[in-house]
Amino acid sequence: MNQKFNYVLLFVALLFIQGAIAQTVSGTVIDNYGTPVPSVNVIEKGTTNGTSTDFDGNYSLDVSDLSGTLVFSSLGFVSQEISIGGKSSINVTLTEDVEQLGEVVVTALGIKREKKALGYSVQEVSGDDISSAGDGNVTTALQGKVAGVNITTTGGIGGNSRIELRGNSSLADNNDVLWVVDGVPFSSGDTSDGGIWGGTSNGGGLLDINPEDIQSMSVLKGGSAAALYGSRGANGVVVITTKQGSKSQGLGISYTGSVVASNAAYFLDLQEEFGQGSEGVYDRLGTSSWGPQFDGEAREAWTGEMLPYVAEKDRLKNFTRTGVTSRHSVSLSNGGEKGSYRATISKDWTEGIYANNEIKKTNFDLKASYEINPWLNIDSKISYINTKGQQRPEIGYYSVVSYFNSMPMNIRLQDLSPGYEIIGGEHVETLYTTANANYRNPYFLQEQVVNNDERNRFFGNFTANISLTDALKLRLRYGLDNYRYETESGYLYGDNVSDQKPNYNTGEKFFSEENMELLLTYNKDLSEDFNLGVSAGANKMYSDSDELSASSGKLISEETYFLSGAEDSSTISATENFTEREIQSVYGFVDLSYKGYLFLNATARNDWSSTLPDDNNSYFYPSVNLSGLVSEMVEMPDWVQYFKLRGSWAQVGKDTDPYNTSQVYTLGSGRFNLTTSSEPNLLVNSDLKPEISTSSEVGAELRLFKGILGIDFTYYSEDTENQIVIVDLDQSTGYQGKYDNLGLVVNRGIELMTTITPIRKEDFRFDITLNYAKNKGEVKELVTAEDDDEFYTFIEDNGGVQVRGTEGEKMGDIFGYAYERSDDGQIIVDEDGLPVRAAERQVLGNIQPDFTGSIGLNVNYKNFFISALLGMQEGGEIYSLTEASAVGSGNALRTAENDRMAFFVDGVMADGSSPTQIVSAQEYWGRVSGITEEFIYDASYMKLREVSIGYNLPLSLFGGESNFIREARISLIGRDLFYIYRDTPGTVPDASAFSTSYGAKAFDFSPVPVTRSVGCSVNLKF
Amino acid sequence: MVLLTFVVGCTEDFEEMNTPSNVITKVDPSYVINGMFQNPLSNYQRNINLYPDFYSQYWSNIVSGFESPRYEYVDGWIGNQWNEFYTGPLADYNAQIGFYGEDPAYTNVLAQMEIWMCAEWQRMTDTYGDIPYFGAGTGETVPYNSQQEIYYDLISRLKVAVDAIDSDDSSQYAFPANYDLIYSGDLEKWKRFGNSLRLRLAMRMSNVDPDKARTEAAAAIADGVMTSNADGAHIPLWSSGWYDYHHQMAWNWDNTRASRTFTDYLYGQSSVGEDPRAWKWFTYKDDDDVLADESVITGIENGYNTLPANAKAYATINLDGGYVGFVGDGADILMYMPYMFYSETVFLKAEAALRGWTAGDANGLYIEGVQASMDYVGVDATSASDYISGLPSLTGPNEEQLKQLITQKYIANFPNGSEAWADFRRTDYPDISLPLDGVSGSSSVAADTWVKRIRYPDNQHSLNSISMPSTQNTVDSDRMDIRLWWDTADTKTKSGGLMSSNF
Repeated sequence: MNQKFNYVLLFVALLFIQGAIAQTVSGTVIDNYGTPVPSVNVIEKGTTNGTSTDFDGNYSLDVSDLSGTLVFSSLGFVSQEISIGGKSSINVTLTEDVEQLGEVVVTALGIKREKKALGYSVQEVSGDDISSAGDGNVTTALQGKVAGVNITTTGGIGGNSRIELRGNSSLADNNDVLWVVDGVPFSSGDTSDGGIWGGTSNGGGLLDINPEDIQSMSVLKGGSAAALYGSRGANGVVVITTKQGSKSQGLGISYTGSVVASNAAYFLDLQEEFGQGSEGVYDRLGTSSWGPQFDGEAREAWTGEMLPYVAEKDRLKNFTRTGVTSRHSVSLSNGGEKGSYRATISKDWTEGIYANNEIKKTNFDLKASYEINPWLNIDSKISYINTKGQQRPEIGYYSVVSYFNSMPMNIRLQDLSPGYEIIGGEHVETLYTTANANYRNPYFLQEQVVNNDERNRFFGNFTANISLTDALKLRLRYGLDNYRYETESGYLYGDNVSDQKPNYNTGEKFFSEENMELLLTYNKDLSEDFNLGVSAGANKMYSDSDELSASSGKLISEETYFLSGAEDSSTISATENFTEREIQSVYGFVDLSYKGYLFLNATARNDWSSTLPDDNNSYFYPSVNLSGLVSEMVEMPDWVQYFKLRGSWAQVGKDTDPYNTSQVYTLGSGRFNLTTSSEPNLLVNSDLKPEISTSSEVGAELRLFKGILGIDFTYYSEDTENQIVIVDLDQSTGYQGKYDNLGLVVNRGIELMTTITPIRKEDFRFDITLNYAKNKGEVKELVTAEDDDEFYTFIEDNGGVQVRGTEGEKMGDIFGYAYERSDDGQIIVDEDGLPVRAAERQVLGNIQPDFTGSIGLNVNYKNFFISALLGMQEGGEIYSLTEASAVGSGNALRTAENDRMAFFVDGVMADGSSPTQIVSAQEYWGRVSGITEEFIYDASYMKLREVSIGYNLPLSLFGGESNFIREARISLIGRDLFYIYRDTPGTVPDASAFSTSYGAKAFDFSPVPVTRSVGCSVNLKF
Repeated sequence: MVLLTFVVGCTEDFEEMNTPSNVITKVDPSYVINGMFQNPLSNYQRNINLYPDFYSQYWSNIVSGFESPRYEYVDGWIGNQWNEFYTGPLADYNAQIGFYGEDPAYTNVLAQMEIWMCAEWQRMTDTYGDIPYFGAGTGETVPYNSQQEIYYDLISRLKVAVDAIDSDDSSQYAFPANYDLIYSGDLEKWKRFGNSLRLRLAMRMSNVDPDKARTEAAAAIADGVMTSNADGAHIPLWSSGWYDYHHQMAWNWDNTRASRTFTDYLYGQSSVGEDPRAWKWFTYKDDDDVLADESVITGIENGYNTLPANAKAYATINLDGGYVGFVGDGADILMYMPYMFYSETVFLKAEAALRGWTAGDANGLYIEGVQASMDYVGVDATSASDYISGLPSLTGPNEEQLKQLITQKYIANFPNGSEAWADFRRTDYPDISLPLDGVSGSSSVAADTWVKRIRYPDNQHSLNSISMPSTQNTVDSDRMDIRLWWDTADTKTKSGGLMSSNF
């Protein structure tokens, strides 16, 4: 099917091939340093005939007149006009344009601005940087590439990610970043998270974005950058510009393909010395590894066979498979004087490391631009995306990882597989012990559990750019994001743990969001020194979603896996859910520049939100920022090429979810099948106010030593108050809680981005990029009159380990149980000889790192290039719940210490005397497994996140430049290859959370083994 | 400007937009009564079985580590009762008053709900003592009110509610019969239930406020209390779903066994020896250990620290005794939780007569009460009359008569532990033992003292301690051996088996 499609595209492309061949001029464009400059526009002056240079700075242009003139222009360089003078080869050296040194970046509302004029930090990531490592998930691909952006992922392929810009500011964990694609908000909706007790992780809507289609991503981290997006941008905005068509030589077709193999790579360290049983005695139906030491002798196994008593090594690894991801993307693009177009089809097929787990994705994009007449230009983009997830793995205590980490070490995979027997036409789970939710057969689960989903999305916009006068321009845009999301979940077979299986659940949701926007822009030079830009705009956002889900209850048999197959028709139930919201906005901004080196920008926006009460539904966001090019104002030493200072201040607000302000009643079916309704437990608050974040930042940008060193430094602070959270109420009010405004969370931090280019020669270039970010989030105020709690609990696991935000403290303290200790710090031992757990929980660590960073290396040597990205975190703690559980079952490596000899615990009795009671390893570790302190690890790590090594094939291989193939590149890519250091016991500290909620980061609880990936990619241009 | 209005419309429809379309804004009264009636059953084990059922010594615990029988408070257990009452029935009822309080067509149904709420309020204040009452459940934090204020108000509310019911008014909204889980829409029964509750409230004040008690008891009886077992208030329990009633706890989960205290009262009260209800209620489980003598019903003592190994051997509930009213077979039959027996009403009348507050014949009513219980339990007429004729008549000193009366009431009230515990706290009858192995280390009840109330839940201590009675506003001072307002005497003052405080 792919193949056929390619032919169709090829045929369409052929129609666009230029007819007549005229004289050809070709050459190479380099910069002052001799480095080839790609993407330089080369135009035959006075015509619309033109081209652009390729990756190596080469161009070739058919000109109509050899006596004409060529115009070479590129952002950041001074344009040059060179007369052809009959020559067929013209090489050009462009000089850097100091005025334009700061490149142009995409800012709020898609407005392109010179970076030098911005009073805040914007970091742009190119599409190549996103797609180079072959990661089909745009969120994870962004990881490590922008300072101050922390991304945590969970749940294997297609799993959910948490994006945190400049720390967590929200007690209610309301940190959703706004994604904007070509000016239109892109819903990240329908994500799902697992929890300690189960569930699946689903990355939701952001998986739909095609990394291959991205031209650039701007990450607007601070309030000032995002202020023009109003409430939805309060947590930051990622602005994506997709690729558009451009005039191309040849067919204008490009192909990108990659194949990547992922293998489960990081597992908890397990012991391989002791097997099934208890207190050193073998038990063929035992559920833990406290049996005798392995001796290889035949023993009756749980299957009834006599089997050699040995460790079954690498079970989890051998249970998994190599997950192969293949991606193919073909695009056709071209452009001319009046317009351009680009059509792309991409197919992704990602296999998870568990059998049957896969994500399939199809992206179809068409983007076109046409200049209808001198005052009207139309842009439009339409995307259709289909994303299918199949057999997303369960997370939590009842996950495959948990089962293997606690299964007696001698249980063999071959005896567990295929996981079931067919008895009486039904699948019956093969169990190594009696039926219990804690001791399941992973092979059976893989066949039994269904977690599928599919989304069909249309996304696009239609934009008219109208030039009313030279100075006055109007932009009108309509954007639509519309999708249907279907889910199917259930259990195909019954099991011995619950009598509610098999069962079947299905659901579908229609989501739609419309944005209508206008923007009027006026730009005028007031005098030789002053330029003024004034813009005013308005936006109306309307979104709604309709959801219907149904579940069967227990089914008659595994043959009746459908809704009406329920054993008792009264258990078939359906629920519907609707949400609707509207935000109306007006906004405006003023840009004032003086002599091209001093820039003042002020913005204002007012939103009216339907989710807030009438009296409080209007809110205003101001921002102001200032930028000055010191290097233009005063004389600088020779080694300073560019020095900019900037500062900004902004205030943004957040509304709340719909339906938090009016009391409504749902109907349900109660006992005796009577219709019931009751007063909700949450009291609505009709006085709810928007959350307000006040942020400011200052920064400096430097370019030193003729571009060898670039530094971008930012200090920021953000105060978030009036947080909308659920406050516990005195229950005699009739309610358990209510939405209220409270609290003040303060984030302060610095970001430092450094680029070093020690070598910059024609055929050898070496760049180093360093990102460093340090953020400290603190809960300044928490208490309201009604709530005298001094801390906010973000999460609590079943063992009582909590992550809290305590008033006056750094947010994210890990609270858990320590050893009871004597005054001189010795562990207290009880009468049974076992260590005593302190009665009260205490702070054992904090999840916030001291700093995070990344190191990017790029080497281009002739046709070779190497890029590598190292990611790191310093500081912060993590609690290895994985290990604590496996310690209890005698599987964790450390439980094999000292050959499990009985011993006296190193500690003292409460009266200060030495312990008198000797304890067995099983007793000891059984006690220790409940002591959090023992499993707190340093979360610091450094790892090789991405590496790619590529080679641009010389075109001579394909018969020269005028041949069919115009560019060919192959790369070897690797992701998460190894950790340079980490402290956790075999697991990893950065991808082990069971959910993306703020507090889950505190838990090493690998929901799905973390993988190592290697592969290759091919880029071809025709 | 024209374009601007195209983009930005008006915000007048925002309120409608912020109301979901799959909800209602005014709730029909029948939709809430199911939940209101089921409330005492929602967490029966945690709220009632682990506390009043053990403290009345109808049941004993056989789960090692459960310390409520040794007077320990567990917030995750009975602490829920507070939450479930205030945020459940009370909030629902207040909303109903808001929706229909001004509508004359809803007088009857609101009065029925009012009667039910008064019953539940009494159960709440009898659990804790002073509680937030006036204005509670309206979204605002309100002060605690004294139990006396609450009792006085409940008595007058019941009178008003009963008087308001007009069973002949066809213009009245009525609950569909299947929604009225207690009386199937019989308004006259509701009125008799209301008056009986008023009698229960009045008699509870017998020792602390005898004048008010006398007046109200006489008035309630005059207004018409329950007249037969058909008038008893029982909450049906739907066995198709989750439930944690006696069938589960005593039989399926093996959490409870009959209390030795109670089973002892099943012998030797009448000259016939064994109470004919004994084997209706109890039996032995075949698959458990065997007691030495299984020809008599023997329960296990309350308050073990370490349970005996054969704890499960003791008498448990009889699923086949023919008395399924509160047992059920866990499958397809309706089970009932007794909320107020007809026999209780008769015993209340007997006590009023004994006290000389009404003209009735105390002994006759006492006999009538036992007979009502026998009938309810399904004891055949001969066995019942043999047992009754073997009972000693009420004679002797008032305290002695009262003890005899309350002892029979205690037996008849089985398994209504809430009411039995209240009677014991008020009258200190019958004789109920202290925990066998003493109170637990973290109990707030002084050694050798009976538990007298439940402490306020953690939610109140952390969020509303400012409103609590000043002598009980810390976890330490909020003790479970503090007597309620109507509980005037310490059980320890009993001498020769008799109190001196009841008359």
